[in-house]
Amino acid sequence: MKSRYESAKNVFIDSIDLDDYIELDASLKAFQQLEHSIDKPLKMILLFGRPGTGKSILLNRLYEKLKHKREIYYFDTPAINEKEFFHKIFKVLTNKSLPQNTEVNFSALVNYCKDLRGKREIIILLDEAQMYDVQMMEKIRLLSDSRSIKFIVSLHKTDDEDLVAKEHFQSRIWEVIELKNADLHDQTTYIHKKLLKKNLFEIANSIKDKHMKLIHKFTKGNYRECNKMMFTIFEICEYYDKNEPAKINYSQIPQKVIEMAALKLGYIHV
Amino acid sequence: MYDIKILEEEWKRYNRKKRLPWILGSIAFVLIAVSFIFLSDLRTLISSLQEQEKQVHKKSTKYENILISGPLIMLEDKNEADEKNLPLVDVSLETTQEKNSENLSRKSVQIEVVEANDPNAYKEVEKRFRLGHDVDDSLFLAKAYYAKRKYKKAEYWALQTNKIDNNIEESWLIFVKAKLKRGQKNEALRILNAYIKRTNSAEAKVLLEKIKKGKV
Repeated sequence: MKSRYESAKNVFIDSIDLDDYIELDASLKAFQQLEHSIDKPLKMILLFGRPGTGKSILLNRLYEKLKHKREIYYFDTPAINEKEFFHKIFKVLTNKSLPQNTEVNFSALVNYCKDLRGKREIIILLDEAQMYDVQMMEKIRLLSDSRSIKFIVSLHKTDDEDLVAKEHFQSRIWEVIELKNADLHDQTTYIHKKLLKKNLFEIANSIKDKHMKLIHKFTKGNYRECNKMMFTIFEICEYYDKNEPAKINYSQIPQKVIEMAALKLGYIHV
Repeated sequence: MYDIKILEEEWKRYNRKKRLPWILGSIAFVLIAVSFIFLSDLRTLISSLQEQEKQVHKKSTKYENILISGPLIMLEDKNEADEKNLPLVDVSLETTQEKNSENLSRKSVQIEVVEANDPNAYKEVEKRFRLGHDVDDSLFLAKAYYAKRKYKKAEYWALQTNKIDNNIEESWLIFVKAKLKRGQKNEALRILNAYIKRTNSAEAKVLLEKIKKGKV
């Protein structure tokens, strides 16, 4: 027999699928800012924030919205090396694959881009750009200087270093859009909307305000952490529902389960 | 699926740890509250004891006054030194804690009388006399009963005193006066004359004159 919590659990499988996208005030604002920035004569736009703040899904959403209107490309996974990256750029520019055993001549590529100025306006969405090294970023900048390619770069903000502060980022004219973790209200809306989208009204109703506060405390409003937390909570509930139904209160998620999930995910320790 | 049982155990440990500060806080609170109540009670007890002590002191003073102002002490030529030598004065000194080295050399009466008029207080002294045969006790009783106009008892306790120590003049005088009060005038005069003959006491002579004149 399928547990009522199984569907709820699957709602929170972390993905950038647009069907799972939840419109929140903060994300809507970021999206509008990004759309607006694209229309500005900027060469590069920086989208940054901590992991799990919704950068990838925002890029994905932008791509889906503009793919039929603009010449836009989404590089969701970073190229493993420079060669592969320029292969991808070459294909974007020429619509042709690079012949085998050949390499892109970067100077020729820059010149090619310069020739395209005024003829084409290409937008490239670069996700996980923190994976690229400084040299590579410099080459990306040179390409963007041609004004025919506009890069939207998504970066992780880390504790160790603030990438925005890096010299090559500071020296360029960038539009910077920062994505932050959700506040309690946004996170509550996010969880409720996610469940309601799948018609899981009763389960959404079983998560009370005090639970939301606790979940927000553990996840600090991070969407990815929130997804993990909710998935684990419903996984534990699913276990009890199937094996020890006497231990679960269907009208509200027990605090014990939330704390067990937090223990499992390492938010708290014994 | 990970092992829920292990996770449950882990949660139980976490929960215990989480509650520990609350439990310790509650225990500390209870201890503080109990200490506060105890100290407050102790303070009340101390103040009540002090109050009681004051009352005892007051009563003792009263008790002393009763005896000092009694007919026995009204004997003529009675000097202060004699008064100080009264066992009763010892009692007073004990209760007021004015330690007199002279009196300390005597065996302290240590009368634990709360109320001078309390019959139990006299019984206590009588009981103690039977145990210790202390003339201070018997003389005290003789004087006390005489002051209370219980002459038969006064005579008895004066006799008990004289049996132990026949040189206590005060006891002899109480004995004579008690007999007199009981209507045994001849017997009283015979005893008093015998005492005067033996001791040639001035005070006894004064008493004899008074009896003859019918002033006692």
